[in-house]
Amino acid sequence: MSSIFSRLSRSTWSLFTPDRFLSADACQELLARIIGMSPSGWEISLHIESRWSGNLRWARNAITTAGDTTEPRVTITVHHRNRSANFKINRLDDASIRSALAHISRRLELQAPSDIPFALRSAEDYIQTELWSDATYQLDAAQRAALQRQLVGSAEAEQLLSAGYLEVSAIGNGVVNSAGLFAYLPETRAEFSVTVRDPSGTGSGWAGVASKDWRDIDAARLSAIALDKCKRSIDPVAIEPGRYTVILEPQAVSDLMRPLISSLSRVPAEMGMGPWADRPEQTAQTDFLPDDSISLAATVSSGGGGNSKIGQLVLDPRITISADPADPEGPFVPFAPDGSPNRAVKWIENGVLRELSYPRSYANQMLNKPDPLNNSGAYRMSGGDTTIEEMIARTERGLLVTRLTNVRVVDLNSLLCTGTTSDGLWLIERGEITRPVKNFRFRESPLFAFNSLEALGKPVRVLQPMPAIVPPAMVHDFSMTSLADAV
Amino acid sequence: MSPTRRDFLKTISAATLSLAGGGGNALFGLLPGIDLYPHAGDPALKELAARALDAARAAGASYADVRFTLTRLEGLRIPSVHSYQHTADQEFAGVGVRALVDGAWGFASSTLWTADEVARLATEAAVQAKHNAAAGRRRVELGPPPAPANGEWQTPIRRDPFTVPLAEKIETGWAFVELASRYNIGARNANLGATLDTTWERQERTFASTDGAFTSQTVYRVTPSYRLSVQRPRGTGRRSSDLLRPRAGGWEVLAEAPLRDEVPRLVEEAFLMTEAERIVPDRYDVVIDARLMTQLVALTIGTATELDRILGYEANAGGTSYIASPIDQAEPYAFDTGLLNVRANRSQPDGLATVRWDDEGVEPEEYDVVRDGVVVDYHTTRELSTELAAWHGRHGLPNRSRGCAAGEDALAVTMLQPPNLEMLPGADATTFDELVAGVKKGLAICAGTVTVDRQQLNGEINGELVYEIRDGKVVGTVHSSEALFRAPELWRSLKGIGGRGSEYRAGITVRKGQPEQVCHFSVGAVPALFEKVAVTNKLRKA
Repeated sequence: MSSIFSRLSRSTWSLFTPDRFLSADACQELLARIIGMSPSGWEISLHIESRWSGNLRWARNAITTAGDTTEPRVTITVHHRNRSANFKINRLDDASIRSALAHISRRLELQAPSDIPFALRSAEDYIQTELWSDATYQLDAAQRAALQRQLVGSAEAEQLLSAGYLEVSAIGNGVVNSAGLFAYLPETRAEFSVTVRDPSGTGSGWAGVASKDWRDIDAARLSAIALDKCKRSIDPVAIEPGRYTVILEPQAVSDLMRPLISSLSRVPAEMGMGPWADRPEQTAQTDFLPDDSISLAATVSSGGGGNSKIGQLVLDPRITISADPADPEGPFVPFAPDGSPNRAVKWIENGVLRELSYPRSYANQMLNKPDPLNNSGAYRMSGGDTTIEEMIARTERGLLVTRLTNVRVVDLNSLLCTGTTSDGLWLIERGEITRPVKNFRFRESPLFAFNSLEALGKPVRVLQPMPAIVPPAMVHDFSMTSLADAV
Repeated sequence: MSPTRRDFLKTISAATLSLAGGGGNALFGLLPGIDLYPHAGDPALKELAARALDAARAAGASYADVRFTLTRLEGLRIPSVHSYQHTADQEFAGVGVRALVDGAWGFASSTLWTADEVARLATEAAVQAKHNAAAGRRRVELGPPPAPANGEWQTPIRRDPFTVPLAEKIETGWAFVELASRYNIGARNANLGATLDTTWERQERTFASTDGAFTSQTVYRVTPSYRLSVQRPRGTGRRSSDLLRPRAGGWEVLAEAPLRDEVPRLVEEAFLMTEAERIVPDRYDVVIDARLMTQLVALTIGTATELDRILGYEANAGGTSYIASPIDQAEPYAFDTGLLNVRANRSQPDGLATVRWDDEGVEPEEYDVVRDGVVVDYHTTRELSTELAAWHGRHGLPNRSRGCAAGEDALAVTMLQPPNLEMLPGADATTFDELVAGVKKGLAICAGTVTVDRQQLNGEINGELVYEIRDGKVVGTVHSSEALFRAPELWRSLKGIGGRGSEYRAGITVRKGQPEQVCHFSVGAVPALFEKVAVTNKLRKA
């Protein structure tokens, strides 16, 4: 039996006698109970995400809602004679489990067995990491409400409107199976974001961040940043669309980088689809992402292998994009829902594409490797030593961008994206910020932008669904295509 | 007392007792003893609801409500004639209690339906509310309570999709996919494929409030999509079914869809798109088909008239609205066109937002949102309607909730969600083709996607099928086009709309709130002609 839980020192989470999510023991007991209710011969695997979260929301300087939720989500997967089916539940009583097993049974009966033999794995080797923070788990409703009172004070004093959100959560992550695999890791997450607007609706500032540890989040500082951005963005002027040198704050870099991170997949590349295909198939319309229906079998039958840009220079050589479950600034769960390990990986190293993610079936059939290469969505982008102030000083004419919203891919092969700038956009002239400007719709690809790199700053944690540690970047010839003057 | 209720209550008390000393696991649904759960309408839920409301009152709540939901969801993808895969298969339960104490809200939810747990949630919600009230910056007023809602309601369906055997679902899907693969494309060099994706959802909802409401509703939704593609050496053309659309309903929505009649047209239209020319960026007169218009109405009228967005309650999440707050304005917001009329309802039989009572026990009414181009009302909940008291008074409208309170399930807090909307057809019987016939140099854009920014102000229209029009005639198709708009200017440029018979109703999904919730609603619209719309090549940079 492999257990990262048993190998980690329990003393590292002093509060870890979970009373708001499932314990390691409870996960084991649950598996035993489900096995006891299942026909013999069924191999059973559970993915458990048992979550507590507490939140506080405010707008127009006043608290609007606060909530506290507990939910144990469990995916029961059954393998039987090379067939498999799963069912998700969030109530773990006998009736709910029996009902889930009955659904699974009906699905198994109807299935044709797969040609590829499958065996549950009894052990995996996971990276040791620490995802727990007592401070996050302890931030209760009283503290959250008290904090809000402090945070909105300065916005209120300046007759501005603060709206924000604070959420802390604790998750018991587990994968257990009937072959003996046992992985369990408790995790905390904290996120904070705030928008300050002026009552006339002409200025808006935003700041936000996530961390496992609430103490890493300086809510007062972020509130001050949002307020400052709001004040400095009031009454923006319209300037001409066109190509600009832009200084992207870290949040804006991550907003543009997100489609690139989620595209780091090998099977579509080998099929000639997407940005990482060496010889992309030309089509008139390429804004449809390849979906799950693209089968591995097609890759295999087409000969597969080789038709990707692995080994090629794809970004500026100053850029390295990596992921590591043990990254101290952005750790994440070292196993995937199927129990396979999330490994440390360098996707892009000094601008060269090194790896693309692949599923276990691809690893087994095409690479003769046992494990998949998972892409959790978490990443770190390397930086440089230029501060945003230095970038501004170096800019003859350009824009300072707070963040990008509504980002979507319009061309999958080039990763050309569109979206709008939001919550603070300023014109830089002769090395100085001169005035707020109206938002733009942009049309740009992270592949082009990060090949047009002028400078990088120090990477910091930003607000994204999975941990992202990203630097500010100065990029030339960023394409702003039209005015999009929403505030 | 029914056997169901007796067994349930007996079992839960035994289970709760046996685990009383067993630590916190009772909180997570780890109650081995339970082997029967009540469904919507079961009196056992009334007893549990009473427990929650009593506990909330005892903890100081001036108002409280409790919701129970049980959500069954199954998603099936048919990517070819001989394969299928489940994209989702799940059943999630929830119970949530909302308490108002000293004018502030608190909310707590979990998945366990026991007397002790609902009492804990009620107490927790009230405690949160007290902390929030201490901030004292805003006092929530709910206004007079609605007439106590009592009863049961269900989406009218002919067959519950969850009673249909999986084999029947798969065979039905295969037959649809086969319509494309067996289509005779003649001597044309092309690959033709189709994928059917369907999600069925059944949500049982029970609601009770300290105002005396107790309602049970079961909502059925189906989200089908049928996409086909034609691949040729020079390009790929894609079309999706107009007939299969997200709506409320049962198994019959999919099973009885006359796709056989539609597929030949879709295939030929996809072929046309493989021959499309690249768009020449310019200003064009644009006819937008009724299907794409539903999105334009949903986003630039529907979500833009949500009062919470307008007032800034969504500023840090889903965004605000370009429509000015009615509270500060003497004059109502006016679009510079008399052709635009939009009504809201939560009663359209196939509407995704259709319910008998909302999640505050309010029975929604139909109301005008835009009349002759003027915004005449806004979507509200109970607390938001009190903020409109003066405005409603000035305009002679009843100052009560428009019935838009909803949570995606009981785990999520109640918020304002959009109702169903209907853009009213024009007085005459103008058709899509007649609108096209009136265009000298332009485009006709069919199906596709509309996106908007965080103020619902600026947006893009991406068509699935885009015809080029010269002198009232279709002369070809174009690809890579993207029409850009600013909502007030776009509506000002509205020059014609379709009449009765040209309506199309679509299911729309938007996200808002923190934590984010999914909102489903239906929108009906007619085709429309807009003058001099900027159309760009979406693949071209500045």
